[in-house]
Amino acid sequence: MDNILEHFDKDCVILGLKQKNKKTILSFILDHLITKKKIKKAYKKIILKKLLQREEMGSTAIGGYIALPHARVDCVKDILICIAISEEGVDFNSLDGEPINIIALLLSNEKEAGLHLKMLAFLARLLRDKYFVQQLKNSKTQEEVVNLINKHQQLIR
Amino acid sequence: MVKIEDDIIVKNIHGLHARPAAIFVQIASKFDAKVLLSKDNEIVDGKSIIAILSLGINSGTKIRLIVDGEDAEKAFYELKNFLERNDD
Repeated sequence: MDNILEHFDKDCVILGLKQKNKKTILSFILDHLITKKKIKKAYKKIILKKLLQREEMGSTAIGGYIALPHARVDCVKDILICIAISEEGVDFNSLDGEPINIIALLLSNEKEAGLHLKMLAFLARLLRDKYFVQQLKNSKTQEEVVNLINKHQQLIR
Repeated sequence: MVKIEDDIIVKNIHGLHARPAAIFVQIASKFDAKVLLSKDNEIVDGKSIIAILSLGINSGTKIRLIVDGEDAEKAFYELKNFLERNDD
């Protein structure tokens, strides 16, 4: 299994997410990634469009208080992951109607279909553990989130 | 009770990524039977999208489909059909 931390650091963590709907949430996450120089501003529009197109085919808020919005785009180098957390929960049009506490955004390069599915599987392995989701939800700092994920990924290998 | 299980080679073109996994769960949930998927000795709930995703099932992967319950026969047939379709 690929090491998630190669594609992930504390700049890829957002705490206290408050936006009201899918579009504003995804836009906010992309703005954060632009500020942290993870993606270029010029690509925001196309990435947002792809993410929203994917959501239209079926919500990626698949139940269990988590959402895995994802897209393959040619303007991202290999893989980019961002974890956005809302302790109170946000509306992401989830399949089970419940609010979402953890949004794990995955952007992969167009050519990386294999790595994309592998990373999606990896995120699912992390987030299928309800206790872990609870711990993430209660995290107070970005470093805490990175450490939690690092610790947990060693357990599920 | 009826229990049916067999190995299946997944033909969905990109494997069981998020959308096909959601459709699989939709089909599985129509039935009362318990649905399990197994890959490399790991068995997960076939009615949970995140559990299916966590297996990382590529196209061409061999998995075991286990269906257990009164309506197992029909459920097994529909799920197998879906996994062996290659249109998505």
